[in-house]
Amino acid sequence: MKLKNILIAEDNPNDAELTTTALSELNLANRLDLVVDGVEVLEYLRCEGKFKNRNSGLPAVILLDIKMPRMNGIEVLQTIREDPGLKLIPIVMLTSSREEQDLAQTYKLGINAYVVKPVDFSQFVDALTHLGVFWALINEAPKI
Amino acid sequence: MKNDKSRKWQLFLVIIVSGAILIGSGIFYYRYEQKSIRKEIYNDLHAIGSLKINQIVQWKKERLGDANIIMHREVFHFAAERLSKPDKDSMIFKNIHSQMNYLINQYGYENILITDPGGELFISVKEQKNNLDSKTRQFIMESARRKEIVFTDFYRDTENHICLDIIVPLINKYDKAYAMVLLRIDPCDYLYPLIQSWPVASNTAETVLLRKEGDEILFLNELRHIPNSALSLRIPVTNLKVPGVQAAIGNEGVYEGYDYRHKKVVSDIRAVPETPWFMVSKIDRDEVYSELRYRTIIIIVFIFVLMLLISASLAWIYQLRQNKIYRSLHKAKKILSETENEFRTTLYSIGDAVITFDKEEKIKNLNPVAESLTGWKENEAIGKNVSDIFNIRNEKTKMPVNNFMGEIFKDDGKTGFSDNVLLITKINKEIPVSVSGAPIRNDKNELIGIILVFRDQTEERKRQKILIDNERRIQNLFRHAGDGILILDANRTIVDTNNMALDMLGYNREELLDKDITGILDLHQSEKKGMQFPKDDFKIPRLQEWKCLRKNGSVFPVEASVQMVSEEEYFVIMRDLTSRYQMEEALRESERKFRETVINLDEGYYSVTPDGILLEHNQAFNQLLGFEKTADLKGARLPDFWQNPDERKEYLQELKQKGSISNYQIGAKTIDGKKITVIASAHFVYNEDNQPIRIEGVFLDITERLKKEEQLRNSEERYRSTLDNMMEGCQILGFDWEYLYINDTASIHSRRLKEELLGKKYTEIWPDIELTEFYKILKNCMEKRASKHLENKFIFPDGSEGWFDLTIQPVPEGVFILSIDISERKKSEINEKLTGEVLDILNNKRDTASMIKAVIRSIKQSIGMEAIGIRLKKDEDFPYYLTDGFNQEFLSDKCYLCMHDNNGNLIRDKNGLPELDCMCGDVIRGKVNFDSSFFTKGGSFRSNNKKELKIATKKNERYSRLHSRCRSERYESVAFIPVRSGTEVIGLLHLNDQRAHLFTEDMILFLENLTSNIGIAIARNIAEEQIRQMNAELENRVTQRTSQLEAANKELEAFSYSVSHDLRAPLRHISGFTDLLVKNYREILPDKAAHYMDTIAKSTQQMGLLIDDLLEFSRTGRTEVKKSIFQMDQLLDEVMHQVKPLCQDRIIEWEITSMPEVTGDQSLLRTVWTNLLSNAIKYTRQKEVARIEVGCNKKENEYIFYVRDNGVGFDMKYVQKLFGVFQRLHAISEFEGTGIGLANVRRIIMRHGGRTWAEGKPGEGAVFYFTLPCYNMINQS
Repeated sequence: MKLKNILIAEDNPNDAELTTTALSELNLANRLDLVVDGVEVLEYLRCEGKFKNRNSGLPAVILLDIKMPRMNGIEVLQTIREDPGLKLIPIVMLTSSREEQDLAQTYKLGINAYVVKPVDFSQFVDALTHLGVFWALINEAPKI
Repeated sequence: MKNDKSRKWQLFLVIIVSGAILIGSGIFYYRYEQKSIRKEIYNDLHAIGSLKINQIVQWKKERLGDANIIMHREVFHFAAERLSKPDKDSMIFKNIHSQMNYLINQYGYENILITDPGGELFISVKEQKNNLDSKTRQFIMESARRKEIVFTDFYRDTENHICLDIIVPLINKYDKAYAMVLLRIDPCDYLYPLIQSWPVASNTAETVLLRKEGDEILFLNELRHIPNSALSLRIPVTNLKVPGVQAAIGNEGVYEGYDYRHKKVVSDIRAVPETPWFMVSKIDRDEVYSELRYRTIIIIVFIFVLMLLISASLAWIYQLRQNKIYRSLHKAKKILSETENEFRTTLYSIGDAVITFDKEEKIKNLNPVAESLTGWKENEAIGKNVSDIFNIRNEKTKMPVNNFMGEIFKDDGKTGFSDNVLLITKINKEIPVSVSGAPIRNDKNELIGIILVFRDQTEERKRQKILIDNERRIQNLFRHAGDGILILDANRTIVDTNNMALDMLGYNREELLDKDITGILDLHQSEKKGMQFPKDDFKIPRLQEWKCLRKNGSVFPVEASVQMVSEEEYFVIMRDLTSRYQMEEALRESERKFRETVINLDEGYYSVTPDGILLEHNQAFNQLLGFEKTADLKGARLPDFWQNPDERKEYLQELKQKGSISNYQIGAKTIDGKKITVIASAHFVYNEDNQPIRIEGVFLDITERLKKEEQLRNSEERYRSTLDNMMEGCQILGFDWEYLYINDTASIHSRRLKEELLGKKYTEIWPDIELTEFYKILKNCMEKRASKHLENKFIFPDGSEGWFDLTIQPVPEGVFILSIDISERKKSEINEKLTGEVLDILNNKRDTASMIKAVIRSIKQSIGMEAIGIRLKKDEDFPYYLTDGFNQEFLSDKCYLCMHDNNGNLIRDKNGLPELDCMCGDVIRGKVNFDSSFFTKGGSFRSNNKKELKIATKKNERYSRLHSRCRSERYESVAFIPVRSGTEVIGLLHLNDQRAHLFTEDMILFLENLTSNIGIAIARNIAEEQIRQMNAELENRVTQRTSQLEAANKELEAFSYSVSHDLRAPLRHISGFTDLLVKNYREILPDKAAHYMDTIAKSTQQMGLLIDDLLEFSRTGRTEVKKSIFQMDQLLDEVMHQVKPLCQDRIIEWEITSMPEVTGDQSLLRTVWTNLLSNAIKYTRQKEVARIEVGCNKKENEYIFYVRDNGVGFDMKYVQKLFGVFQRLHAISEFEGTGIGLANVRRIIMRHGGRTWAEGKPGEGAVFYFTLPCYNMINQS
């Protein structure tokens, strides 16, 4: 029995720390992998570059920041959805605002959920906790 | 042996030690794995447990939220009120039923029931029930008593059905519960699946929910391993090894114990907050360690295999060493047998027959060749005496060879050989063989046997015989051949010869042999013929002609074929050519004679001796002199046919002197006295000693030809007089380009007198004519005799032009040219074409520059001026606008015409116009003398040479700067034509050429006509261009403004985007970390620090709100207004629901009138209502009883909506500031807010085409109005 990992793509170390802290309150800290930009997300998923020696296996979910250097969240999303080996990975977009153009575009590209990072931290923890889809997403094969 | 034993011990020791190390590390690895697996499973159980608890808590919160909404929802109150009345309207009942149904579906409840506070059922939406279960009633009554929402735990009702209910009391204004709403939840719908689900495939893992009931724990959900266990399986609290019990007595975290099946499990236990429930997430210990067991087995197997490998490899090394010894023994044996085999193979595959035998002369081997030769088989022969098998005799004596062994060993006992031996085979056949033999000796040089090798010689003998026969035959051929044959060695010395060669050369054999080949050649002649001796490449016979020298010194021709047979041998085959030469000579002689006889059949031919006796003559000769055609006059004297004896004398003298005479015209007579004129030729024929042997002569009668020529001369005279008087020009040029004839008309066309032309060369009269196309045509006619008809422009040396229709024909004298002057016709054609072209340009080109450019090009091409320019008025001057053909210096000097005084000021005339320089200026100003022939009525000027130009110029201007500039360019023909628009002169057309006499008056009139059209077009274009330019400028300004606006818009968008993203991030970090700080270090923070933290948190929240509002504000400005028609009632209802939370703990009297149907953007208008209503609620906070009116009036074609409150109000002084961004009329400590809400309202309403305003009084309240256009009204009207 082994739970899958959660991949967080976030370039801002402050945001990364907050997200990690929030998730550690859900006892998921040991399952987190952190990358800092879109290129690293793809390298992680494809076990290339600095992740060459990673134990293969896809993450249960990817928390993807929209604004990242090199390759932004939307480009990563597009690439993942076009790759037959990766396209089924659930992706939750984390972003600073509710600007419509971001929203509309990501939904069009097949995002699973969308979390606007609230200014208030406790709200942020709540938001992550209450991702209705979250638990269901980690659920690989509910068997009773 | 001892060594070997100790080695075995060593090996054994190695095996034991390595085994121990392997087992040790295996155990270590197992421990490590066990530890890490346990740690991992603890973590996972922990994560799963807490995730599930979070979900359950969240779920419960949502349910309670639903209950809260229902508690305040009008719909339920309405329904409950209706239902509580005794008269149940079935219609209403149905309506309520359907609404409730909607709620069930929407929120996923099993059922919704409405009862009275005592639990008497009003309505059950899903199942038809008459009354409720007693347990449920108790819960209802409890809720009614407490006037609170009650969340029942799982319970089984009297029908043993698992229930979980939320009971909501509906409170009336007397603060009494008058009806109860019961929301029944089906745990199987969400809660049980949530609890039971497990994130990854596992056979034993599950989570269970339980609660403590007395001294027992009760399992609330369906267990994985026991069916139908929900709410029925209980375990006493005393059973401490059960994780559930541990949870129930308040322990949390990881616990290893026994579950309800008494199986050993690993579990994570914890309480579910805000419920009496505990959650156990567990998995069988067996399953956890199953993987570990599996790995252990692998490790054991691995160690076992590794040990086996080590033992095996050690054993293998031992074995390897033993093998080495055996291998070297085996190798030696193998080499021995290989040598033997090699010997046998050689013996049996050799091409010669081989027999071996031992020293007792017993046969040992007999190879297949020996078998076939002797007729014996090897197996028969082995052991027999050698002389029985190898029975041989001397070939000559036919006697048996006795002492064969002796023969073999005659050469110091090593080898023997014999060539002529006969072998008698088994069947007594005799075969000639050659035999060799050798003794076989052992290591100690003792003889142990003999080897005999022999070969069949039959074939070889046959070949020898054929060779001898051939030799003999070739010798015969050589000796008796019909051609002479010499054989030479490399030094070209004759080494052999045959009889024929001897005969040809007259030598006997002994004399010829050893002679050098040059000895028999007439070297002088042969070398001349390039006699060559073959070198290496003369493998192929080469034919040459030689002159050979006989012994007696005579020379004769020979055809010699020389071939190099080998390096040192040449063959020479010679054939005498003497007789062939003689025959060829005879043939040549007869041929010559024949030719001489046959020639000159048309002319009279004769041949006489120097004494005048006729040797030969032909029939033409006879006819010419009046003899019978076939008469034979041979032997007679040549008749005297001369008319004049002196002429004859002269003729003979010349003939004798020169030896020949040709084309001599003679006046002759026939024998009957008829006078004829002949042309005669004759020559002497000499013999080998250069003595004249005869005279040969020919003559031709030309009497008739002379007569015809005479007639021709007479007719030419007649033609000439016709030509002379023709209207067309006629001229004839000789082959040397001389004028042979020219008539009067042609003289006029050429503008020269006949005398000037006749006898002169065409190319002298017309210099540079060679460069023209016309000359090429003439030349073509002259050389190729091609006639041609064309229309040609002819440019005379003075530069003037003329057009001619020309016909050029070859005549015997040279070329005949017929010319018609078509200049007038041509000129009018050109003018018409030009007018057409120019009008076309003027009509189609709207751009002045390109129009004038095209016009100038067209005029220049058509009338062929060297330089054309147009001046156009610019300010007060008339500079060149466009020119073609003037040089740059001239243009820059003559461009401006205005005259200046010494101070550089313009000189003006009495009308105030600037004085203009030069003739150009005069023409522009109209200062022309109409009496003078240089000016036309139209005011144009022309002069056809420099002199005229000078005369035409006023005396005082003749030496002005501009005038002399004009002359220095050596322009002969100059014309200025004023360009007019109406009566005003706006420019000048300017034509110059270095050729004189280009302008006729007609041409100037034509140009004036053309120029008046140009003037009109220019004036039109200038007007149009001005309009166009103005338009373009306007357009340019518009696009510039538009792009500025677009840029500003884009900037704004970028700005708001950056605000939303980049400004929020640091804010989020401040808030996040402050929060964490407070959370984790609350105990050690002093009170004041906690206050500061609180302030920071509030400030960041405020700023977050500000940013959100600002963003919203900017968005309402940017986003499109998506209009639709909808009910404002509905929208207001939604907003009311939305702002309800703000009204908690407040007493507000609402008065809301009904709203119309409107057209607008729903979501934007929702923002308007939300802002206005929340403001009203906010600013009435200090009133004990707040009163808020919301309404709408229709006025003309707009709706006026308003929100009136009795709150703090405002001073009308500041009403202007109310709707501005960041404008607030109250302190933030008094009323929170960002100051953007009303600004946003105004912007949205403005975008809908409406207005906003407000009225207020401090302390008494405020009214906010907004309007929306009433589209229905507009449509109707």
